[in-house]
Amino acid sequence: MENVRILVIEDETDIRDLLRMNLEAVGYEVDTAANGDEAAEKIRRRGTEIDLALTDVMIPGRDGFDLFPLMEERGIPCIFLTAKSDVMSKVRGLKAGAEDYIVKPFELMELYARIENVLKRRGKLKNRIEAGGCTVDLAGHKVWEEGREVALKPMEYDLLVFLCRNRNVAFTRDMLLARVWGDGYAGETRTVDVHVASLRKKLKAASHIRTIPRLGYRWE
Amino acid sequence: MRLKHKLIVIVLTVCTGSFAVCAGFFAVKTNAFTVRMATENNVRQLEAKDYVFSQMVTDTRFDAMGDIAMEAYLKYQFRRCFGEGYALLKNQDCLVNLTEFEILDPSLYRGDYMIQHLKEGQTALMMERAVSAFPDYRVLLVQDITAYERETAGQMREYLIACCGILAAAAAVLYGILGKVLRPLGVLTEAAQKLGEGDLKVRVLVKGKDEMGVLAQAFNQMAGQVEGQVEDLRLLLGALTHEIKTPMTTIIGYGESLLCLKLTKEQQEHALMGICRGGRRLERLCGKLLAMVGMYAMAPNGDGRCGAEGRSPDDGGKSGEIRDKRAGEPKGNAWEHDAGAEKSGQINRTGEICLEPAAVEDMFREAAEELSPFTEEREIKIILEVEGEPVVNADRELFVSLLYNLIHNSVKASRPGGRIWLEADSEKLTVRDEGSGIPAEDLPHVWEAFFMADKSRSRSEGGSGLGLALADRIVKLHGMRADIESQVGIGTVVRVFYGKI
Repeated sequence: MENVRILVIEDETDIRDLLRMNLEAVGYEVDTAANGDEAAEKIRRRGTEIDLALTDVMIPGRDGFDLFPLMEERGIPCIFLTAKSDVMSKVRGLKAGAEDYIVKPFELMELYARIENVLKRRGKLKNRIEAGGCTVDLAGHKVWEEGREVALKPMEYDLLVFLCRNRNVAFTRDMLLARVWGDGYAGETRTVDVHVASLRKKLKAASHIRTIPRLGYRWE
Repeated sequence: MRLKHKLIVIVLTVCTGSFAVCAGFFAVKTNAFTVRMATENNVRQLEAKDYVFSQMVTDTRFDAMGDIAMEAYLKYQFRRCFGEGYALLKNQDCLVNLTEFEILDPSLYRGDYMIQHLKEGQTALMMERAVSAFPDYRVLLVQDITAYERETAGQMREYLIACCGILAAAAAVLYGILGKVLRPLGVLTEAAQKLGEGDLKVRVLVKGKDEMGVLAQAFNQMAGQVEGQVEDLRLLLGALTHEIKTPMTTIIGYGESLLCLKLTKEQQEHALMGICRGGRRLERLCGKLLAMVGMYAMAPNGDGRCGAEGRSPDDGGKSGEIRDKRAGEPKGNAWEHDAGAEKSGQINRTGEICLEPAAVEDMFREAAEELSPFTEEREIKIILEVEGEPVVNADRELFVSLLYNLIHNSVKASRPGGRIWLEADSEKLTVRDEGSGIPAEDLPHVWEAFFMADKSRSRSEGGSGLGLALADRIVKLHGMRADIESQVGIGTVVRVFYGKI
């Protein structure tokens, strides 16, 4: 399966570049459109290649909301970006067929999480991740390296998958606890260190998990 | 005390006062009339009886009689002729007293008649005249007029009771009428309270053309104004928030990327530049807004002569801050082009605008000169056509920035190699271009802050959407009028008329 391709529709050059950079950093393929008409053209021509669209609703030319039906026809899930935090515009977007929304200014982690959620819901996530020489079989919950299966504890496996999926993104230990172990987990941040250490011991590829001073961990 | 009650008390007091004065006046008049009628009547009776008495006694021969007999005879005749209510006096003695009263001292009698109030509550009217046949003798008439007095008093009492009744009725009617007349005041008070609590939609029903109606109308007008201004402010704030969010998203986003993502050297540089650009944009927006706020604080100065003596030392205030800030801004950096994209009429003087005669042609040249980097870059030709030597009363700096904004808009709309005409005559100046034009539906909004006809293009040209709003404000500060005409694909014309509105 090919990489996930995301169409970014945003008229502000800076934000468009920012989104492209951030999405490419975690391994998505990014296509961009600066206005509604260009976006419509791209959706029509290469609709089948696009797995998800990230659309600003306030764009020149064709309105962002007007694009939703076009995307729905081709089964492209859409997350819309809005600068307005009022309920009405959110409701309007969701009713028009969007999967989710993000309010500007957004946080990077939120963006990744929402994209991942939508992809998961639509079954567009790959069921096999190749990272640094190891292969993760998401369907079978198995990890392979150099032709043999590596036995991992459930939390070690979850942590590995999370870091692989968000490669190049640094997470603090608190963030990892919240996202991998879940909000309800009342553990210490040392738990993360212990799991990372055991991953590094069991898996050669886990050497890609870098410790970022004063911040946390990142898969590079 | 409520206004209604106050008014009633005042009206009733005035009425009672006037009634009392009337009553007193009538009492005195009635009394005088009664006395006059009684005296006239008595004078006639006295004359008639005196005549009869004199006839009787003159027929009689007194020579044969002694003094005593004569007096006795006179007494006898007096009793016969005069009867009850009369007394016969000789010198200071009372010879015959047929009155109901005791006569103590006849010598006190003076004038045509006398009225004496007795201790028993009686009132007596006295009249005296000499007997015509015997001038030594005098006749005194004493009449009891207590009944008359009582009647007058009774009438007064009735009158007063009637007055009280009338006053009570008047009070009741007044209460009702005032309640109705003053009701609009209550309605207005309630509406004003609601307005004060933030319900800006509140209006009162205007009835009639009296002061209440005028007040209600004035209230409605005020409420309308307040609502309009709050709505304007709300829209401006909404637009502003939206404007701020984009650069903020950029800054936060790139900042986070730098912090969390593994980026190449190139990407890192790109992110840093993005942050700088976002910051610049915020700074520009800020400067513009300050300029707008400053200009809103300025009052149009009619007689405006610039004079140093007219400025107090402490009014440098807000506008001074703007100048200081701008003066401290580093010049000539990589983003200078971007930062100066629109000129925000810098208010670096006092809060007043000072008008001086300034040649339109000079100011056109100055503005065009400032814009030359943009026009040269895109090979846009500026054609200056000034008829005569028009001079306007203007704040030179503000006016140049107005022209700068107008010309800059035209530059942004023009295609490379396009032409812009700057024309002026004795009554107006015109900035005309053959650029992309503005759609008809957008024309009414172009003077609004943050309105951009072509959002993405304006943004890439470095516009903040405040240029025309500022221009509009400057035009208004000068008491001038501006209009705009535009056709998509043909071009835009902005005219500023010098004449007062």
